[in-house]
Amino acid sequence: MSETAVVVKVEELMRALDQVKKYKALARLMVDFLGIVLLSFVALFSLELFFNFYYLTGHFQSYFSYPNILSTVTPSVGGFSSTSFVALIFIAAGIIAGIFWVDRKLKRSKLEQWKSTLDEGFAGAVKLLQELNWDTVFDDIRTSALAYGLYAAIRIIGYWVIAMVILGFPYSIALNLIHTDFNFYLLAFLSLPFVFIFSKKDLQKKYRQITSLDNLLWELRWFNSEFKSAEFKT
Amino acid sequence: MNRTWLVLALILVIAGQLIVLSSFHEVNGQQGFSESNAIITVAKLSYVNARITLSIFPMVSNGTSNVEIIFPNGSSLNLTSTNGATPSVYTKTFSLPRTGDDFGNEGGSMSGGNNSISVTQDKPFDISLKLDVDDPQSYLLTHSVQDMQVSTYIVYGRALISISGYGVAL
Repeated sequence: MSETAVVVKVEELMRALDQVKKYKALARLMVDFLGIVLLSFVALFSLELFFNFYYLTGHFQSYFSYPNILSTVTPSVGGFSSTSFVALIFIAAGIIAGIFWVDRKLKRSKLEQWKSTLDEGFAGAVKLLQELNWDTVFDDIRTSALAYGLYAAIRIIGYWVIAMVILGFPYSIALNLIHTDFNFYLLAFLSLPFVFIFSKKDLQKKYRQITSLDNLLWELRWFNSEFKSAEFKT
Repeated sequence: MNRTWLVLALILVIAGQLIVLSSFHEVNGQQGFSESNAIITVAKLSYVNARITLSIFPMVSNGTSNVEIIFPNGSSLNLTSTNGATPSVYTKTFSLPRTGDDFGNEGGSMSGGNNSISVTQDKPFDISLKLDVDDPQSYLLTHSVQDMQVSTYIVYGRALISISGYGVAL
């Protein structure tokens, strides 16, 4: 293998490892994501608690002026089975804010820090290879694949909630026309095909990314053993 | 602060909020038309802070309506109209404040035909509307309850009565 070919191969490897670095950052950002979604729940329940106490202390003139649309868990609207649109909007807002936060942070990841070293040519490529901690690299790839899968699943759930919020309005109008009751489970079921339509490309992309991470792991294992045996020979 | 700890703190906050939210209790509005006298009984455990809304619509017969309300403290209010005048509708919200902890009290019940009332730790607040009672005073004497706070409203006369309640057990 010529020196130029080695530099090209190392560049490919470093780019792949940059992707892994990005996914590793994603794994850390999942905690932020969870925190943001939980904050949306705290906001929703705080609002409901405020209205419950506000009603109890006599600030609504009668029971019928109580804004039931806000209720999510109060027994007055049937307990946990009854989820209002406001609740869905809060949760959807939390998921969207979380996705934006994660995407923004991911874009700020410091990538291609190896470029200046690789510009030195073959010597720089060898230096980069020698500096790699292979055990950490393999661990990072495994963590990244897991985080990426988890993030993909959360995004799909997010799309589902958003689809339910959007579909909820025409669904309610349709129900009024045929004079029947609102069924949350039916709405969730009806939203499902839209989720698959809207996220089809995203799902395919995620699937390719996860399988490519798998392939990368195997290629690196091979590369590692080759590199070590070459090092040993020299 | 470590982000993981922050997430755990948020989970604890949500758990606390859900516990408080689940301690709110609503008693479905009861409504009925009484030809003679009616008794409204509101029962709760002492740690419940409740609010009830009572509405009384006096019925006019032969141009007059004669309705009297006796409140739990013994005071009374007349909703009387004559000469075909429209009687005034009485609507009022009453606060039944929390009076203590009442540890270990598992509630009690009072049977009264279709209008039984019972309070338990799961449902520490209840309302009963007994219509067409011939003699309210003797009815109350024979239907006493223990282990719960009871407020009784007596309505004499023909009226449409509606009552609803909301409370928190904290």
